[in-house]
Amino acid sequence: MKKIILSSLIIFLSLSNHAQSLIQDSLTVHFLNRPMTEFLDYMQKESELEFVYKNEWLNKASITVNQNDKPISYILTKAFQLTPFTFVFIDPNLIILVEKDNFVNQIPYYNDEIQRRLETTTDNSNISTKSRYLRGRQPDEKKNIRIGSKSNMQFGRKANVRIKVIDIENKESLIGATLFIDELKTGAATNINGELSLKLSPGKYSAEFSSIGMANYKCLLDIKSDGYFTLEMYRKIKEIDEVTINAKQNYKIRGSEVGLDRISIKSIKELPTLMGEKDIIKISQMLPGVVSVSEGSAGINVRGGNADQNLFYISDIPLYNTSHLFGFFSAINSTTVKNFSIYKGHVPAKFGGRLSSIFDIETREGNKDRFFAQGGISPISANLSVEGPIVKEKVSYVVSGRSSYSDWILQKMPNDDLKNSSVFFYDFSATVDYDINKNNNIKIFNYYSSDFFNLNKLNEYDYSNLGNGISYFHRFSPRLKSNVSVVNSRYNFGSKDLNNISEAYSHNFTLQHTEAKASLAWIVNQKHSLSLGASSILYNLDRGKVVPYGEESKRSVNDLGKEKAIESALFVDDNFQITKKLKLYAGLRYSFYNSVGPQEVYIYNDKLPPGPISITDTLQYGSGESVAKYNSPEFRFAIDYKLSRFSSLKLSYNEMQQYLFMLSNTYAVSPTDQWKLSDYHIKPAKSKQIAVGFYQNIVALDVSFSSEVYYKTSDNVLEFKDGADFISPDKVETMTLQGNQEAYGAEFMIAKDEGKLNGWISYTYSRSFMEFNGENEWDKINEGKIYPSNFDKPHVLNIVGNYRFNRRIVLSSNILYSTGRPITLPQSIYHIEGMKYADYSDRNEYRIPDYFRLDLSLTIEGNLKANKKLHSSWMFNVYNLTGRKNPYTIYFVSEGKGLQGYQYSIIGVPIFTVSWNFKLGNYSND
Amino acid sequence: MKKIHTINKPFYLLILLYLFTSCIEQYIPDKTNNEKLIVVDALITDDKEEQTITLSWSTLLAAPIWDPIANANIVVIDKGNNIFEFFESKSERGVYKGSIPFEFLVPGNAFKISFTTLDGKEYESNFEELLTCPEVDSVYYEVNNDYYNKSNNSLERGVEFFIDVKADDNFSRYYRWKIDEAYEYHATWPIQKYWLAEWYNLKSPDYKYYVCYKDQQINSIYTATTSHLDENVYLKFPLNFVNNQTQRLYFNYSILVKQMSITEKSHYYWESLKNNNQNSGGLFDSQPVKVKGNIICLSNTDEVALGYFGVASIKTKRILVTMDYIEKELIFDYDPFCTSRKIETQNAGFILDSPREKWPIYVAPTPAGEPDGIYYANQECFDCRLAGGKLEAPEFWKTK
Repeated sequence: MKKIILSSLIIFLSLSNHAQSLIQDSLTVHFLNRPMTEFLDYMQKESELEFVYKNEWLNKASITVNQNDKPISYILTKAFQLTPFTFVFIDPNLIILVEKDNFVNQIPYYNDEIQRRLETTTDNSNISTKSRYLRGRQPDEKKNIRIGSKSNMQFGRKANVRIKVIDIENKESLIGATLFIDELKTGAATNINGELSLKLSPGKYSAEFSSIGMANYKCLLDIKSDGYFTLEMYRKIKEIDEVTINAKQNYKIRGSEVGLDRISIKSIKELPTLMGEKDIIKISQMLPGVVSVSEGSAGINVRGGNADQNLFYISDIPLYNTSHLFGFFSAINSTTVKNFSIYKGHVPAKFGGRLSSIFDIETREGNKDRFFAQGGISPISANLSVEGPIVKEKVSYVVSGRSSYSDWILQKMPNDDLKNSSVFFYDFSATVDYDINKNNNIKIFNYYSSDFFNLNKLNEYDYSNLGNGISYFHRFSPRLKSNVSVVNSRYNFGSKDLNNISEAYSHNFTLQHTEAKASLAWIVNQKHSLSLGASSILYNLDRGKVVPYGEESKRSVNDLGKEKAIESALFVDDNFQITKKLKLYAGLRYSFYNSVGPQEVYIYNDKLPPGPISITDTLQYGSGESVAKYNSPEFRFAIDYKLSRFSSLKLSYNEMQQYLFMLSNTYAVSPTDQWKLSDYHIKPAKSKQIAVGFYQNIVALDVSFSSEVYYKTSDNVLEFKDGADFISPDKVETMTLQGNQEAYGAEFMIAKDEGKLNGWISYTYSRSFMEFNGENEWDKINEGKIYPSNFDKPHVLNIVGNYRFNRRIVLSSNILYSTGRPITLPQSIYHIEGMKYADYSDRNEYRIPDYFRLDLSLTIEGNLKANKKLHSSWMFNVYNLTGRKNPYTIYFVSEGKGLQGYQYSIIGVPIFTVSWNFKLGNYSND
Repeated sequence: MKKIHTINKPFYLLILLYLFTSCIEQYIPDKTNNEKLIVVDALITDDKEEQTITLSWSTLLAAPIWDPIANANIVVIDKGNNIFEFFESKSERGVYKGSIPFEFLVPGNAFKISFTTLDGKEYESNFEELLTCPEVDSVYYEVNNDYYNKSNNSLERGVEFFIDVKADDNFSRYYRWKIDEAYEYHATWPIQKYWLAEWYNLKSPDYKYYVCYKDQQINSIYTATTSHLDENVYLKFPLNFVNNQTQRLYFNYSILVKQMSITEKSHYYWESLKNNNQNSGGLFDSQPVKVKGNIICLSNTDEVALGYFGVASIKTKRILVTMDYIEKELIFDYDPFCTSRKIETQNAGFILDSPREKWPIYVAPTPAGEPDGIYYANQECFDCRLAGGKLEAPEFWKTK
C-alpha cells in the first residue's frame, strides 16, 4: 500500500514539473541534526515555498541534510528521508507535510523514481512493475463516477475537474489526499481545503484516491465536462500487527493565552477517579491555580477567588450548582463533553460576570451519518448516550443520561437510620444540531440535573438545574461570522428540616437566568481580527419563604423576598498582529446593571450597626422601578511576544465585574447556599488581575513548559458576619460585609503530550487573603485584620501520568499534594460553670495537616478487531492508594469535663472500584 | 439572637462514613499560642440569695489547669445603684461569694459586675436584666434506639429527654436550661473476704458499699429561642441523652431541669459557645468564632475578658424515670459487672505485699464452674463510693 501512495505522490510531483516550478529551484542546505522547525524556517526563508504541517510534528523529528545547489524537491526528499514525514507539493508554492504510513521505513531515492516515472509516462504500454502490481489488484475497480454531462462536453477542450475529499466519519476535509490516474500516470493532491483540481480530456480513467490513514478508493472516472464532486473516504481498517495507534492524547493545555487551560475530554478519560465517576471539575483541580476547600466538597477556587466567582457555561447555559452528592461528583456528565476551557487570567471580552474564572464547556454534537451509542456502569451510577442523524448529513441529535443507584448501598447498611435515608441524583442532556447549509447552523441544547437527599427523614434537600438554549450561527462570508443565542437557566433548591418539630420548616429557592447574546467575528485582514457583540441577562431571583413544616411546627412564616435585575454588556475584542513576533490584544467589556423593583429598602443610621433598631427610613420601589444602577468598563489587554519558534512571553491585564454572590456561612459550598443579587446596599465586586506567562517547548525532551505569575485584587467581595443565618428575617446587608481579596501566585507546568509515557506535572505557589476592615467596629471581620481565605493553600503539586503499555492497556496515575487548608482552632481553654470551653484563634490562623493522595487506574480495552458491533473497556481504579487519612475537617467537642479534638477523614482507606464502559463499533470509533 | 442553621452534619457524615469508609481520629494540635485572658464565671439567679462569682485565667489547650485569680475586688451593682460586695472564699482561691437579698432579685431589676484585679485593671459589664421565667411546662423522655452521637460518630441506644415550653408574650423568648442528673448505681459484689493487714472473711455478705447515688451537673449547653416561631411555645426541645452503656438506666434515674429566661444577648453568647464547642468544624457547619462576652476592660479597651455576666430567674422541674417503661423498650447492652482474675496461691504476695493505701483488697467470689482460689478485682467493684457517688439516697427517692 505504501507503494501506491508513494508512486502517486511522486508521479504527481513529476507532473507538476511541466512548468518551471518553484520546487525545482536550486538551493544549498547544510543541516546536521537540527530541529525540524529550524529547517522549515530556513526553507521558507530561502525559497518562496510555504509549508503546511501540524505544529505538534515539529518536535518529532530532526533534520540532517547536506546538499550544494540541488533542486528543492531533491533536498526535501533527502531531508525527510529519515523522518516520519514526507511531503506533497501543490502548485505553485505549497508544500504539505504528511505522515508516512508507519510501516514505511525508507523512501526510495527520489531522483531514480522521478526518472523512471518520466520514462513510463511516455509509453502507456510500458507499465512499471509497481503499476502492474497495482493493476493486478484492481478487480474491485468498479465504481463509476461520472463528471459533467454529455451536453456540456466540448471537444478538444479539457474538462476542469474539481474534487473534494472528505473523511466519511467526521466529514472533515482530507488534506494531502492524492488522486492517481493510472492511464495518464498523472495525479493531483488536495489542498488545505481538501480540494484538488485537474484538467482531463473527456474519457474514462482508472483512478485511485489515497490518503494517510484512509483506505484507498478506486473508481472509474467518466469525464464528460467540467464538474465538481465530493469523495468520501473510509478510514483504513488496520490489522493489528501492522499498526501502532498514536497515543494522541493532546495535553496542549496551556500557552495559547495567559491563564487559559484547555482540555480535551479524550485526554483525561483514563485518569483515575473516585468511584469510577469521570469528573471534569475534579480534573480541573489537577491544573495549576485551581483548588477546592476540601476533598469531596462542592465549589472550586480559582487563583484565590471564592467559589461563587466562577461561571460555568455548558454549551452557553450557565450552571449555578455544578455538583452531585454534596460535591463528591460533578453534575456534568463527561460523556457529553467535547472540550473544556478554563479562562482564569486573560478572559475574552465576550465573557464576564464573575471575578475569577469562566469554565466554557463544549458539548458533543451528534454524528450526522449513523447511529452511535456509548455508556458505562460504575458503582455509583450508570450512564448512556445515544446519537445519530435525524436527517442524514443535516440534523443530528445526542441524548445523554446518567443516574445514580447508590440508594441500594444505603439499604444494605446495618442500621435503620441509614435505611431510612436516601441519596439520589441524575442528569440529562439533549442536543440537536442542524446544519442548514455550509453557512448556517442551529443548535439546541437542553440540560437537567437533579439531586435529592433524605437524611433519616429529618433533613431533606433537593436541588436541580434546568437549562435550555438555542444558538444560531451564520457565516456572511469566510471572513465574517455571527452567532446569536438565547438561553434560560433555572436553579432551585428546597430543604426541609424536621429535627425539632416545633421549628420544623421547609424552604425553596429559585434563580432564573435568561440571557440573550449576539456576536460578530470579523477577520479584517490577515493581521487583524475583530469581534464584537452584546448580551443581556435578566435575573429573577426568589429567595423563597421559610414556612412551617408539619402540623406541630410553630415556625413563623418568613418571606426572604424576590429580586430582579438586568445585567447587560457590550463587548469588543481586537486582535492585531503588529509584527511577525508581536501580537496585541485589546478588549473592552462595558457592563450595565440595573436592580429593579418591586423592592423595599431600609436605610440605616450609619452611627449604629445596621439592624432592625437602626432603621431610619424605608424606601418603596414599584414594579420595574430602578432600585440601584451600576456600570463599569472592564479592560482586557494582552501582549503576545514570540521569543523564538519554541517560546513566547505573554502579558495580560484583566478586569472583571460581578453582580451576584453566593451567601454561604459554611466552609464549603452547601446545597442550601443562596444566591443574592447586588442591590441598594450590596455593591458589585470588581477584580483586577495582571499576569505574565512564559511558554517554552523543549523539543529534545518532547515536552512543553509553561509558567505564569499573577497578582489579583478584588473589591467588594461579600463575606458573612459571625453568626449570619441566611434564612432568618434579618436583611442580608446586616449579616454580610464587603471587603477586599488579594491573591498572588506562580504556576509552573511541564506537560508531555505524547508518547508511551505522557502527562503533566504542575506546581503552584499561591496565597489568598481576605480583609474586611470597615470604619466601624461592626464593619470588621477578624477585627479588621487580614486573614487567609478558607482555600489558601500555598503549595500545590499535581502529577498526572499515563503509561501506555500497548493499545489495550493503559496505566494512569494522579499524585496530589497540597498544604492543608486554613482553619480556626482553639488556642486556649477556659472554665465556666464547671465546663471547659475553647477560646478560638483569629480566623483561619492555623492549618489542617497537608493533603496527599495517590490514585492509580488501569484501563483495559477490549479486542481491537475492526469489524465488531460493540467495543468495551474495563477500568480498575484505586483512589487513595496509600490509604492516607487526609483530614477533611477538624473539630472540637466539649465532652463531659474535657475538650476533645477530632480529625475526620472521609476517605481513610484505599477505595477500589471497577467500572465498565462500552460503545458501538470498534476501538477507534467515537 | 438566632439559631444558626446549617446542614445536618450528623447524618451527612454518617452516610459518608459508610459510603467511603471514613474515619475519625483524635486530633491533638501541634502548637497554639497561649494568651492568658481573664475568665469571669458569673450567673446571678433569683432562687437563692447567696451568689458565687469565679475569676480565673484561661489556660493551655494541651495541658489545661485551673488557674484562679485571687485578691480581686468584686461588686455587683443593680439598676438602683445598690452595691453588693463579693468576698473571696477562704477555702477556694478565685471563688468570690456575696449575697443579694431577694427583694432585689425581682423581674425588671438589672445588674452589672464591676471588679478590679490585683494589678489594678478595672473590668465592667453592661447591665443585664432579670427576666421573669415561665413555669416549666413538661419534661419527658423517650427511648431512642438510633441516637446519633456525634463525638464518636456512632448510633447509640438510650433514653432522650425533652422539654416543652409554653409561655405567652409576657415572657422573654430566649431560654437556657441547666440539667442535673441523679442516678443509683451498684457495685458488682458485696464484701465478703478481704485483706486488711490480715485476711477477713465475713459470715454473710456485707452490702454497705453496694448501693450508691450520684447527683451531678450535665456539662452541656441547652439554649432555645421562640423568636422565629409564631408563639412563645416550643414543643419537644431535645435535652440530654443517656445511653445504655452505663448503669444510669438500670435502677433509678432522674433529672432536674433548671429553666432560665435570658436576654437576647445572653442567648447569642451561649448559642455561639454551643456552636463553637458542640457543633463546630464540619464543612457544612458554621465556622467557629471568637465568642465575645459582655465584660470589657476599662483600663485597656483592646483587652477582652472571657465569659458572660448573666442574670436569670430560674424555675425547676424534676422528673423520675419509670424503669418499667425503659425495660420494655430499651435493649441493654452494658455489662455492669466487673471481671475478676484468679491469683494463684503462690502469687498471693501480690496481695500481701501490696501497699497500705491500696487496702482493703477485696476478694471476689469464685465464678461459677471455676476452681477455688483467690479471685482479685478492683476496689470499685466492691465499694461503689469509689466511683464518686454517695451512699445516702437523695430526698426525692427517699420519699418514694
